[in-house]
Amino acid sequence: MNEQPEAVSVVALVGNPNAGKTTIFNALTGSNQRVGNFAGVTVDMKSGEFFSPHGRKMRVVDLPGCYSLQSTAPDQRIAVEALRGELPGMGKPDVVVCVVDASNLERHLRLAMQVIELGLPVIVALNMVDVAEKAGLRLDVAKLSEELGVPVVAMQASARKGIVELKQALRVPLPAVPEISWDRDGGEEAHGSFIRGLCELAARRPGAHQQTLSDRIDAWALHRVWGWVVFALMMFAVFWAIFSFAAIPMGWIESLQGLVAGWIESVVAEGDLRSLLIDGVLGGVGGVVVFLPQIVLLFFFIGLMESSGYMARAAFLMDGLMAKAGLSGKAFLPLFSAYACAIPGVMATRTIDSAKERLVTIFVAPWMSCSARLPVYFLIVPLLMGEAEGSWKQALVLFAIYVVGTLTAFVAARLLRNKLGPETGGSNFILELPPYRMPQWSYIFRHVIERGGAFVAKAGTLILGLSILLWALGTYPKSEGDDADALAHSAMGRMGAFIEPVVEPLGFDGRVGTAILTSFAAREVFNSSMAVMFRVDEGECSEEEARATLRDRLAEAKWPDGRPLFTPLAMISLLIFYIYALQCLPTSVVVAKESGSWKWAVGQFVFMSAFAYLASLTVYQFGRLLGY
Amino acid sequence: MDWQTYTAAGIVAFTALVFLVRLARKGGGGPGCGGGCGCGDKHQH
Repeated sequence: MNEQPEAVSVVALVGNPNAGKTTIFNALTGSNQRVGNFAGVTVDMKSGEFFSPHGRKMRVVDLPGCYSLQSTAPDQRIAVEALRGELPGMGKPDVVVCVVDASNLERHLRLAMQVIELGLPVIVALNMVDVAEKAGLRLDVAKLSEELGVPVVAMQASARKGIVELKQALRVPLPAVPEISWDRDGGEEAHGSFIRGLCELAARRPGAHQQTLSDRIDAWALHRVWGWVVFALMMFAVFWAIFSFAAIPMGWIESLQGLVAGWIESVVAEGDLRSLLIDGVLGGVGGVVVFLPQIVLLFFFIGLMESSGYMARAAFLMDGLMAKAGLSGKAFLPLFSAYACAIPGVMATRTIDSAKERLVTIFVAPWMSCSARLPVYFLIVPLLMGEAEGSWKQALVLFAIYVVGTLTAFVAARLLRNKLGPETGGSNFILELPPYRMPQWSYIFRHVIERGGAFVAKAGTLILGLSILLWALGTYPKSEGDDADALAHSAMGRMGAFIEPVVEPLGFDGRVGTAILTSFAAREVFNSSMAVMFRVDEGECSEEEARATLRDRLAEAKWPDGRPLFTPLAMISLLIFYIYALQCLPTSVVVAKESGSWKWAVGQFVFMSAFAYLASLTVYQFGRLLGY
Repeated sequence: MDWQTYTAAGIVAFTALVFLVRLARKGGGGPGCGGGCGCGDKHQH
């Protein structure tokens, strides 16, 4: 029973995106690993352990999906380095399992041949044989194995078929290093010719081409007119669901926040600690966590689209449009994700092959209006329209705000892309169009829980710390008087007063300037700072009621000379500022990491802040010239 | 000054210290997402 295990063999799982690599990884290890249907969802290596049927302990490493060992994309380079044994902390793998999609052999065999040429023991996992057979392919596994010179295991990993056979194939002694039967120096052409011959022999398609269900769906989903209608309907449904369904759990979170605040008030007497706990910690962290339902819903829909196969079609459709911004269809997913939060959007750029395109996408992602800007929009837009929250006119203004941000992002991307010059390493946009599948619900829910958990973790660490520091800036040095006086006397208030001459040409006074300053670490802080500056007691009312009270107070606010402070022009100027300013410290932190340089993060922050200021200044001053 | 004032000031000082130490440790490389960036991936830094 207590047999000492032998040395652990390292098994590297490699394959094109969508080949089912991660599904096989999960089946082998039982690990909580997610799989995506969109090219390159797996961007980091995961490893797990299992025992072969002969009791040998094996460590399996799930490498990022890649199309070619010559790729320059960051995530694909990781796979290449791992296979060559050049990755720090991981030796050369003892055996490589190359996962190929049986229904798309011509493309997937190219990578398999490159892997075989590395001179490592290789097993080909011929996955999705069910899909290939449904498409009318007659597979000859023995012939494939004979021609490639490596063991080939037929699999349907999603139904766990072939896993036992794969484990059997991984028994010791491991397969020998294959002998290569094709012209390895003949390049792409020789590979292509070998693959065509091999497919003739081992993957015959008797009779005429049979149209699969995916082909029939694609006739609509990729149609030059109907494709866009389907896409627009899908995006509308996603956004509508995010903004309507999320309101219910957001209400619960706010209620919970109120209950916790009430409990703190009942057990801690009035004083600095109580203020820190309620205004700093609970207000700061709660103000971010309240967006969790929207984030969760967005990731749910992204997971649904990836898992069903539609996300790849959306990227394919968007390729032409993104080209106008100098980007490829692969930039669509990161930019779309940035509508919920720029952080996952910036992280998702790892799937982009071209380094320059990736930098450009990272640079403009924060201009896709994220959900943290919504509280500011919800405060200002009804005030601008002079009515209560929730009319269709406000929805139109909100839509226009999103359009302005998106269009500016596209124009900036185009200019920046041109400025960076042509691609030196070559950018080859290959996007797999996997067959449509029934969504894998377990994967989607794991995906949502992982991402939601990571968001909460961020709120519990970085945002918690920043909230405490911001509270201190808004509290010290202390003074007597009410909250507004205390804030005005604090370091933050003094900074606000100091910058009043700077923000006055935008139509804002020192109080609005202070609220903007407080929101530079996180935009959503603006509303609560405005409530303090304009002496609104948010007390125990709901967020909506608090906003309505604050709006009433803002409508009455005046400059010292008696002019109204919040004129329509000043409010538009404020909205413009919030569309463009990069007021999110966590985003800057992630940009620094992803771009590999703080220069990009600082440059982006300075550029976006200056752009926001100049845009706001132009709108306000031009509007005044026109007599508004 | 009462105990609440000292405790709140202590928490603020401790938080500032943690930020400074983390910044000093990470240098120019950025604090990294630490798996908590919202992207959902458990990165291996």
